Amino acid sequence: MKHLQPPQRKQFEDEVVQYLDGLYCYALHLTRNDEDACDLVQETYARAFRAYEQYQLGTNARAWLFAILRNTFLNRLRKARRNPVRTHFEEQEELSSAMEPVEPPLGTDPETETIRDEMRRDIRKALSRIPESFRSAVVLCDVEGFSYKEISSILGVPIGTVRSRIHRGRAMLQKMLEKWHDDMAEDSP
Amino acid sequence: MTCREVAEVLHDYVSGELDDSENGEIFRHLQNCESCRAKARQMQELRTRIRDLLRTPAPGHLRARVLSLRSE
Ligand SMILES: [Zn+2]
Repeated sequence: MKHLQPPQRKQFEDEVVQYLDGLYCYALHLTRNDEDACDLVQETYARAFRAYEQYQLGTNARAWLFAILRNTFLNRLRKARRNPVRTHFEEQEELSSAMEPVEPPLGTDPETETIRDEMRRDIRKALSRIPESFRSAVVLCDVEGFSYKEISSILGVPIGTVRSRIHRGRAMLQKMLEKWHDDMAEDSP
Repeated sequence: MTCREVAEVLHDYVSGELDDSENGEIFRHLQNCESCRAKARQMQELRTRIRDLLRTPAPGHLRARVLSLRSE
């Protein structure tokens, strides 16, 4: 494998930095809080920059970074499970099993909240309630616009599995977001 | 294509994963079938909403930290 020379290294670094917003957004869906998300993204970049010698120009840098981020997240999750101290990660996995319809939190005044904010909050909450493997498939497909083939390489599962996770993940979301169906059908941009 | 056959690949259609001939078949079916069309629209809308509402830019302090990790 050819090592990247300094000009190529700079090119590589400039390219991977472009994906920061997408990685942060995905990290938020995994960790569900800003602090852990920032931490995860930072570690992902530290790893990517260290691993640049294994990276070859022309490979899919964006998919490669998302795969590093998710593997880093899963490693942390495993560590957290072995650690007796409860962490955000653990709480998150427990919450993920809940599947009841989304209810507005107490103390929210519907008058002061715009429809858009309310819809955003509900979608975010619904996503956080589906298991990580489904959530990742849906977010990578619908938010990040990755192809099934790319998602298969990021998640390390066959394309058929990606496909069924996207089908089932979207179906779970649609069920939880039933109250928005009319808005989604009428108010299209 | 029957409604049942369409239902099996509608998610893949919405994801943009089908080839031209499959896309054409689904498109023709949707033109003539209101119930499949409604399903497709709902899926498409969910996808659009998820994408538009959930994009969150990385905070400035994170960007600064990431940039500082680069080699000089
Ligand atoms: Zn039909």
